[in-house]
Amino acid sequence: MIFKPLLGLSSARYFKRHPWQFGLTLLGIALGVSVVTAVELASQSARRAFELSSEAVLGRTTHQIVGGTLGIPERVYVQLRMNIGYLPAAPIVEAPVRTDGADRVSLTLLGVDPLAEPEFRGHLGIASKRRAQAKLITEPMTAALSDSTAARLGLEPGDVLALNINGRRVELEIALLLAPRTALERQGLENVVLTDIATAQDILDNAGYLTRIDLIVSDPGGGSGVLDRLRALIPSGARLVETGPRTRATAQMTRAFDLNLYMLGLLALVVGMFLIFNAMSFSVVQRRALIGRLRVLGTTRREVFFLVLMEAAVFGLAGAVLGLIIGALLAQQLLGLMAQTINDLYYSVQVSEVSLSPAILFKSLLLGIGGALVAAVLPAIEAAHAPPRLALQRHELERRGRKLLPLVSAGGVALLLFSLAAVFWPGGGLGAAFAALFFMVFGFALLAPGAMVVAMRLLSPIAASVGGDIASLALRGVGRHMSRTGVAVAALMVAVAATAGVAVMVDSFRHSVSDWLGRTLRADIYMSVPGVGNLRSISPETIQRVRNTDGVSNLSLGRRLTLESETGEVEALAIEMAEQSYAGFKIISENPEQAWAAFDEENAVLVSEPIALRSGIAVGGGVTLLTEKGLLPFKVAGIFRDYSTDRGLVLMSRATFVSYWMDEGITTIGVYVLPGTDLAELRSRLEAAAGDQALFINDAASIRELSMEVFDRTFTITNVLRLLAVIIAFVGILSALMAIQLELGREFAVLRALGLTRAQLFGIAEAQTGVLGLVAGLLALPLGVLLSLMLVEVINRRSFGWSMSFEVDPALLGNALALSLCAALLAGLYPAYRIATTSPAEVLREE
Amino acid sequence: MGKALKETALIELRGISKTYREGDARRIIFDRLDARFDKGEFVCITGRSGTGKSTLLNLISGIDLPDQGEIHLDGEDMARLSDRERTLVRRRRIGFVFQFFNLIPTLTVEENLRLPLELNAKQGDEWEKRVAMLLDRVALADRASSAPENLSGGEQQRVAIARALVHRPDILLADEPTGNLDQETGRKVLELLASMTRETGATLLMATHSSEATAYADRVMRIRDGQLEPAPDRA
Repeated sequence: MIFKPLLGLSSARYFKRHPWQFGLTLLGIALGVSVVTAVELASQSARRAFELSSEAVLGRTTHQIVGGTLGIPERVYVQLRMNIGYLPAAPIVEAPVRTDGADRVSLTLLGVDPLAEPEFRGHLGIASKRRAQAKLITEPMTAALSDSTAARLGLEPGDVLALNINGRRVELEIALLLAPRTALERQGLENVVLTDIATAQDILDNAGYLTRIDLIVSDPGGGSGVLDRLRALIPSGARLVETGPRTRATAQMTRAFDLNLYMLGLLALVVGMFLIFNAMSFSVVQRRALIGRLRVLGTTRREVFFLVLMEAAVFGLAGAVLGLIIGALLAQQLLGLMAQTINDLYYSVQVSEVSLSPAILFKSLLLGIGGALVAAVLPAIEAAHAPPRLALQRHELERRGRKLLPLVSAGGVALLLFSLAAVFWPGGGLGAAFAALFFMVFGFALLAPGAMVVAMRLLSPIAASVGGDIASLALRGVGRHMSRTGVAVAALMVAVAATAGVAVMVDSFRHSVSDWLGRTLRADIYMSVPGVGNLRSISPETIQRVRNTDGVSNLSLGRRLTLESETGEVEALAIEMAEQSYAGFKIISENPEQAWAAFDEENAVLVSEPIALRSGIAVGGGVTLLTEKGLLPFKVAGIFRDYSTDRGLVLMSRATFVSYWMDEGITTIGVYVLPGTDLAELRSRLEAAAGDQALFINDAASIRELSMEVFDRTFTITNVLRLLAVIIAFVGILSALMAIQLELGREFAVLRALGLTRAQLFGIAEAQTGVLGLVAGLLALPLGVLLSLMLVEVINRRSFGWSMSFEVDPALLGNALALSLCAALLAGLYPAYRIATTSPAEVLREE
Repeated sequence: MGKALKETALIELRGISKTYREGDARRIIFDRLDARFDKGEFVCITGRSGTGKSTLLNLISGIDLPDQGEIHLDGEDMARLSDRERTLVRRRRIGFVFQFFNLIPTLTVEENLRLPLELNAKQGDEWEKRVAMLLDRVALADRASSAPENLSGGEQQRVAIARALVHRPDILLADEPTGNLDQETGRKVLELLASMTRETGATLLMATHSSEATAYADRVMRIRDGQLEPAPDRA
């Protein structure tokens, strides 16, 4: 048996005697694991909530009829009932709404036909309450809520629920409360306002149209040909789709976003791994005499090797369990931030609770233990190869370490070359990009000890001339203990570089988005219909009044909507441009003039970068869109930059849109103003021009401000993760410094005995940590810049399809350097205090 | 007395050479050294500091390897064995006593005694009794649960002797076992070491500077100029 209980007991007592070392190592693993767990739990909870809602909302639906810019005409439902024998079908009107009032709670308005529902969503529970059900159908402006949603909104049956629909206040009477029987039903009814279909149409001012028709086709592959008959029946602007793939595609929209956060979490774990490496190798160095004794007594190398790995596994297990607990708590905090981003950028999701998935917990547990084991392999090899002599001197170890230095540095260079190869690997996707990122991080980490030795050589003469012998002594101390300090510097460098890299990326992104907004928002004032979806439009009369308003020079008219394409939904903008509007779109493909000409005259479309990159569409290629005339290909005349959605945007002229979609609706007006016009006064005149129609009227500056707010909110979660990585690195450097302090106890005691004051010793210890922080910070700068370059040019492009201008703000690099220095100096305070205050007599006696 | 216990050669060194690098120079420790030690013998190895007393013990135990030559333990050449095989020989057949005791600080007195038994998978009542007997023999039964750091030097060395003998090794190697003790304590430790080794019938090789120690030995050998030769006063 490789494991010997007494050896295990000996290890346990060793760590019990060094509680800070034990505690900091546990904390390092726990924090690393907690970040990864939290990110994954939060993103999975959000996705799961969405899937549960979809599942609950879809019920037993297998297919749906969707499409049409205004929705599906109601008559399609009637024809379906009349022509296709018996087929379960349920009409649905659905729209996101908000409560009217300060809280503005997001809700989903779901208009259903209660009589058609039981076959689809029996759980809505209406059938069991006949009288109330009848009220829902017979009395207009009545609604049902789940008991929990009602409780949250403070409503009871008979109360009034006030909604803000497209700027109008709409009041609904609560006719009944639904009591969900299962978690699925509860999730499905969460924040849903259930009404009769006619009430929903009234509220949304969309009489005669349905959002979709749900169907149950029990035998789609059967010989009855139901699907073919359905296809023949539905109008050309509509489409029959299967529900499963459609829901999955929506849930997949956040994949790149989730993956990026997960990788940031992994980076935190990598920093945590440095900590384990540091702690384990220190414990091996400190126990070199003990290990020597065990070897003399007949313990084999294998037994020593497994002993160290076993210790790491125990650390990993304990740290991972602690990490899971912290992670679950942290996930609760991240969930809000994540849901906010998903709601801002992707789809509507209501999620308030983290669902603890055993699979994720198990994976995190394995990650913690695996990470600890990987980090402990080198220290375990070092321990196993310790010769069975009794006093392998520390300087001998450092000498061996220095001999290995060229090899370690060469390993670093090799990893950097691997990183380059992974970036340029033909056809390498996001996986290759992240592999390159991690190769780069580890490559730099291996270069850190060598760089530190070089830095010490360069700094030594300067220190000696400035601070004399004591300063020189402090500096030499750092270099002499390279085996410990090297790892601490590497850990701090990785954390600081990750922070700097992400900061530069976010800054570049922010600048690009800001420039893009500045360019795109050409008009002075924008008027748009409130709410989302394809339903709303501004009346032609209103447009005419706006055009005639005093101070208005020109208008651009736009219709933003979601269209069906061959590969699923795409965002589209149909626009009738003012002369000035053309400059608002930056065409990044060649020959912009040709592109605009084709756009205006040949029914061609422009696509945004994400579509081009993801679908591999080049200029001259085509996108197939579902028009009122059926699925038709449109020629792509150019590719333009757009950050409004990572799903991609198809831009077409309004003339093209009208001729293929037969829809003249307008959702946005860009108002260009005559020189010298007072914007505030014009705004009042425009409000008057809008008349009864509730429109959002904003100037370009406030839209830009609002957009940047959303941008910053999106990156809040990134900042939280960055901060956690720095905390882990801080724990790492504290642990390394404590280790060095323990190692050098005797040396410092001798210095005290020779007459150095406490203040001088404190100064030496702090100077040493300061130098560590400075070197780590300096090394972090090139790595940070390279990481940001990789994030901007490779990861973002492959994740979201966005290109952006790469900008390095020197202030951000200065911040990173200051962060490194401060972290090191702060972490050094306690060890320095211990060094200065420990009695030299005690230390010398102990030795 | 020593001749009476002597049976056949247990340890035989043939043509052993060993040098160490000291900066750019090479220092010769042994130059084609030959020696043999018989079963049950108590041999003291003397010599000035740095002549290679500890190196000789390290070579015999397989901790170190000769540059040249053969080291036979019961006919098996240690120099030809792998590190693992040498470790297993050391684990089963050799006990060590050091100048600085070298107890495992994270194990109690009793656990230190149990460690060689655990490494050799020797368990059961017989061995439990042996641990108790040895603790009793070295007069530390009442300190069984103490940590080594709470014992005096003499007590620690007594634990080390009990630990070296607990698994009934054939060979006991003692490297300056009294070098870190006062004269009175040293004498008691020597008496204990000699008597306990003789009780077990093991071969005891002791590297020492102590002239008092040589009085207990069957033979006294001296290392000089890379060779092992009988010490002049006991030749």
